[in-house]
Amino acid sequence: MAEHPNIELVRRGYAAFGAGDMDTLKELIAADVVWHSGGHSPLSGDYKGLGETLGLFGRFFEVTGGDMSQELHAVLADDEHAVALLRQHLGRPDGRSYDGNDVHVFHIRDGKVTEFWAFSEDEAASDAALA
Amino acid sequence: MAEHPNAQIACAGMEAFNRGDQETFTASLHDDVVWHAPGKNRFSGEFRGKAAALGRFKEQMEAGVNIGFTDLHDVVANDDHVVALLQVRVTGSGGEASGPSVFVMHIRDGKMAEFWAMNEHQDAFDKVVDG
Repeated sequence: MAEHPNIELVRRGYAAFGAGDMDTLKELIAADVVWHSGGHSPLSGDYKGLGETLGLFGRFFEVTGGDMSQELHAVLADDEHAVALLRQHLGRPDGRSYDGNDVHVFHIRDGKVTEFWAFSEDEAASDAALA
Repeated sequence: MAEHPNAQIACAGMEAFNRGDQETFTASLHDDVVWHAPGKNRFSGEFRGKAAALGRFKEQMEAGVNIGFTDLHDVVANDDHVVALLQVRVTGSGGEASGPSVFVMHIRDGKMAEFWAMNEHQDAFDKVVDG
């Protein structure tokens, strides 16, 4: 069975994020996106619009000093949603880190991400690394 | 709604659990099921085998804790995974809480073989469960 196009879209997004390729991310994320950054850390909250969302990505790069990666375990999709199951790594210059199973959910319309939610298997650990 | 046979198996099991149909829910679990119960409450942890998983549910019910979903928003599936996007509601000695959740499941031999839940408001859920 051919892969759903939304799977390809999400895989391109993670590759672009990993490479710091903001041009591709701008192409894949809707101007009026709502990005729910999960947990209870200084980076948590709802980011509205592409500008705020790219700003959030910048903050993640800043606080981790670039020591951040997502290893995709699986990507599933239908016409409305894509779901990424992944191993998230966040490192901090002071030695704190988070390695855990996360689930990212994307709402996709007209080939662009319009809403995003992140879930962590151990949210408290993720919050502690980002505090 | 996804039409993948694994999605149908997962939905049948989840819906049985939600309406309190113990017999159908029990039949939907693989004998070697591994149940990852999230959070940091008294029922959190990893439960290996059908007896351990069912024992946990029984204890939870006896403690007056009820967990169910109020909206099954979407189910995406492939041959390896099923992911359900849903709204979960928890009631217990600490009151009640609800919020978005994802359930990730492995299906083997037509049964639920492994289960993870991730809740956006896990800290609130923990407070409700532990009261």
